[in-house]
Amino acid sequence: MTQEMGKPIAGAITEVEKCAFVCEYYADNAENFLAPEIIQTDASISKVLYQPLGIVLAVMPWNFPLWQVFRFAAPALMAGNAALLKHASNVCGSALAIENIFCEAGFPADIFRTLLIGSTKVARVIENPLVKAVTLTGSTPAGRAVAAKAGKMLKKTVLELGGSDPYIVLADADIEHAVQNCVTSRLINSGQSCIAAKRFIVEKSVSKSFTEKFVANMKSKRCGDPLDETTEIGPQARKDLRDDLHKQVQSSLDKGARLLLGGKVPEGPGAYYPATVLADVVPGMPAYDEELFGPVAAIITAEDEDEAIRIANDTVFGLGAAVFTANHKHGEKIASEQLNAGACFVNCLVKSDPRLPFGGIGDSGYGRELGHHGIKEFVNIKTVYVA
Amino acid sequence: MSLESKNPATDELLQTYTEMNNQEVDEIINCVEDDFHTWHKTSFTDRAKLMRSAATLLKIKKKNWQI
Repeated sequence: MTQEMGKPIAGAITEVEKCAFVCEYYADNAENFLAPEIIQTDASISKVLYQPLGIVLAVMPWNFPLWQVFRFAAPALMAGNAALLKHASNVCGSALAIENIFCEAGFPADIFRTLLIGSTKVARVIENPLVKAVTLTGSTPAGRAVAAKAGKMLKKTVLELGGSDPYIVLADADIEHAVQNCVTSRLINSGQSCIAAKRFIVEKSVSKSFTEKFVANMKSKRCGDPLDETTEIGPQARKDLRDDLHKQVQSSLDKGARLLLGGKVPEGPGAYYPATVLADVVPGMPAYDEELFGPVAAIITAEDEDEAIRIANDTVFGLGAAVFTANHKHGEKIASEQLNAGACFVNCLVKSDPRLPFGGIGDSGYGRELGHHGIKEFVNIKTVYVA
Repeated sequence: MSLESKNPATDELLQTYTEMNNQEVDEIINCVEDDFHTWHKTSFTDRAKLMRSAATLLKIKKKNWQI
């Protein structure tokens, strides 16, 4: 994983541990989640059963090459489904390693198989009548293409797509705590995470203090060899992706953003990009309107709380969001009632947890993974009624 | 067409994989379907035992996985 897509080794080990956790979680809970439900009606027996659909195709991305696959495969297999994996083309080694894990664990040899194919062959796989459903984690354009094909074939889809998660910092927030969480989230997986914090919306009265501390913290992060356990920012997964990110930064600067840190492509081998901070970010700039999939932070100043919430929701995405405030109750109210996203956190960074549903709204996709909700995405919820 | 694993830290080509053709893909899908027919009849207890084995393997392999 580290060699194929550059993930710093410490993060890679954590990722594998999380995969083990999700396997254990569904091993412990699947039977309970999918237990038949007796529902009283005027029938002599009426009940709901949860039965597998068959083969589920998973189209998965390179950024968390193991986690994204296991969080789908563990519930899907425990529900009795079979799995086909079409992984990102640059992580074929990870894909085959996952297949080997299931085989070595004693699963039937063909219950989880990897297809070594490019994206142009995915449509043909979806057309196969033996494939009953599709799950995709990846970009919004990839999600649209797969959903269009699956929709034409009337096959169920779950889509976990991009995000431009807003982190709101209110005037009463513990700034040190907020900065630490904001930087950690922005730099998850060297910035290449759908639920990384991307837009930092700060109330004007604390904007200067937050920005100074944020830049200092970003500057302190070690960028380098991903096999070195002390590295905090590795290379981007591919050079073309790094170059696309740099174009977004350049375009934002051309449109008036202020560069506070980084922003220059380093010389030498590798797809490295430095921790970068942009201020004075406004609508019309890529840093405001688009997803920045790398270690680039966009700081946006808001006049007050109402404007901060409006800016947070001013996006086509809706994956995660966070708010930092000294008033936990007030933060909970904002998260519950005012932020539009699939997961809204208070005073901590957004993260996935096998026990909680995960997914987005809008251009971030639909459907849910994880928790008891996730395992019910790929089952036939069958009603049985005996008069 | 081939699929390439390339180290983004060094630009080194790690491995090249030959893309499966349509016939190979169809054969795999048929094999997966065959296993599904027996797998979905297994008990949750049996599936859970295998899933826990997968978790154990992940924990064992996590530090020296050369991928």
